[in-house]
Amino acid sequence: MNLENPIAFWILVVSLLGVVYISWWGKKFTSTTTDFYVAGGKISPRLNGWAMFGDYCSAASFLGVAGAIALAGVDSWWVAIGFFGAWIFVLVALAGPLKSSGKFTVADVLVGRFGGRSLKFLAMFTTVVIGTLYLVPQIVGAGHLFQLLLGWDYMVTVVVSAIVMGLMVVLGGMMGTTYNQAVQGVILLVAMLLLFVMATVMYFGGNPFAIVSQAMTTVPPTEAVKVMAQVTVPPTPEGAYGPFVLAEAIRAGFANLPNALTPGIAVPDVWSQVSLVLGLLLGVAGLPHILIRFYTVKDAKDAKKGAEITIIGLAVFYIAVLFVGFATMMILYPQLIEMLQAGQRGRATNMAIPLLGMEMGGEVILGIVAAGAMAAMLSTAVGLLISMTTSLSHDVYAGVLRPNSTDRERLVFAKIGAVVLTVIALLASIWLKDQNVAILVAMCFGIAASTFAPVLILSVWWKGLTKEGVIAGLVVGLVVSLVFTFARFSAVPEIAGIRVLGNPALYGVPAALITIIVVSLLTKTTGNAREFMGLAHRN
Amino acid sequence: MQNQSPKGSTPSSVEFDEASFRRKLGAAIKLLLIFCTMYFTAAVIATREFKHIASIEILGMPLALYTGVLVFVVGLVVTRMCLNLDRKD
Repeated sequence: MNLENPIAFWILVVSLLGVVYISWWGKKFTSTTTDFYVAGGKISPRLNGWAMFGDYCSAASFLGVAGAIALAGVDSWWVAIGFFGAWIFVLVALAGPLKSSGKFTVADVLVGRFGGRSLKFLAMFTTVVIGTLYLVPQIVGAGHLFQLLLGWDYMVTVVVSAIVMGLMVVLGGMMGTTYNQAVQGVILLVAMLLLFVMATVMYFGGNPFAIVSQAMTTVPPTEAVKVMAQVTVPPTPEGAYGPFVLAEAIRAGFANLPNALTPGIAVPDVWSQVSLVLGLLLGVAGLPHILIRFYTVKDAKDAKKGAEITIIGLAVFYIAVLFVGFATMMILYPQLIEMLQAGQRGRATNMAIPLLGMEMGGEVILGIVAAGAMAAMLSTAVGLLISMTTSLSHDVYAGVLRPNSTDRERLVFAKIGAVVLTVIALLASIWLKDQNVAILVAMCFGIAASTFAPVLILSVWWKGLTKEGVIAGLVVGLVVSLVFTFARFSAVPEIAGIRVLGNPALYGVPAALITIIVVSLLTKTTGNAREFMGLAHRN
Repeated sequence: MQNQSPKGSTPSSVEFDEASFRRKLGAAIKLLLIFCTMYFTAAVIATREFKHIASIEILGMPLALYTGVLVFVVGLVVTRMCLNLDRKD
């Protein structure tokens, strides 16, 4: 086997074996479907907080955001700020009532209030759509990472990545997944902080603010690449540009170009920005793989305590991401520009962080960073697959198709579902291989924000909400957000005279909200609103 | 509005307390208003149309950087306020 980075590869293999061992260990706690779905509700808030952090910080957070900042500057930090803000919304509006009124899936909340098979089926379908699309960036990121480590073809590496992800779910259940996600959360936070400390000490004299000062004189690579033909800079004696030589030459020749802290470069216009931040803010409130974690603890207070731990971890992580992104820009400046010139923007964005690890600490640090990145992707992918298969098995198989099925049959159905959904996501990953994983994830947030988020929030806060309103809102939100998502990936500029934005939320969220409110005002099936509200808002 | 008890829905013995619900709703709206005001203001001034505001330098750094960091600070404060309200309940 020909390995391009053997030490890094074996560090990654050891960490993967650790993950597989934890999954296998967790299997002994998985004797019933309740254990498989939500670990029997026995997880402590602290462990759940770390698991939510690991579950949430996916390839987008670890690779995509820092990579995007390295290419385009401070504007790209907005994705991270949105990823953080979403948790404040979930904590205040949804965490407690969701835990108090549900059991296994988001469908439980809706069915708890309104009953009915149609809602269960629709909720399952929406869960599977969001989950499968969210799985794509995890596989794309893992595929690129393996490609960097092994030098194999992308097609081979995405298949290997997808097999590993599917296997993790088939092996274990929620208990193993929780411990894996918590351990992986710690690994990826430590890996990001390690990069931050190493970059600061090795290149900026131990002063983190020197990174920001340097960023204020550096032209972002996405802008610098436009003038590269006019730049002449003598190579260093080693034959390559030093980290800061090229950046200084470009700044000296083009004083009027923006710097890495100049706002408004990567954000196209105010409506695109509002659409993005709206989608990010509401997105987590509609992400089934995150919401399912609130069911793994004892009560609403524990759900909120866990969320606080996640929020503090995210604040530290995303502020570190800004510094690491800037440092990456300056340290890898020539390489990033080279990749942009070669038309490898996706690779430049998604692999900037592992390349930074390689640059600063050779294969050992590359291995640690790769383990962190793989941890981010695996924990998110497994969380997604668990939530999707739980919905398939609990909501559809046990709830609609075969209510008298045994626990074993439901588990088998869930695991077969995991394999099928992984294959679908794998095919989409081949199609979308050049997309920035952070942008792919942000699109999923937009879809979640347009579907589950308004429905769930109104279910627990509005007595006048009706079953018809929920169904109509889910369908309209899903259709509108999916149409604009696929238009964006197919480079369609507008639909029926409406401009296609970078994120579907600006159209999907109002469309869903207006539909829910209007249909609810026109219909009367409010379900057992008072009893449900009493349950959802009990102290 | 008609209050129909659907088949298959969660039975509950918890009494609905209208006053407590309204108090919680009010608190949630206030907390979200505080956070969303900061969040959307910071997001909008960072756009191309308002970049002249975001570029204003304070102590050598652009305003956009401060507002971005402030979103995290306000978020952490709102988190603590939310959990403190829970404790009072």
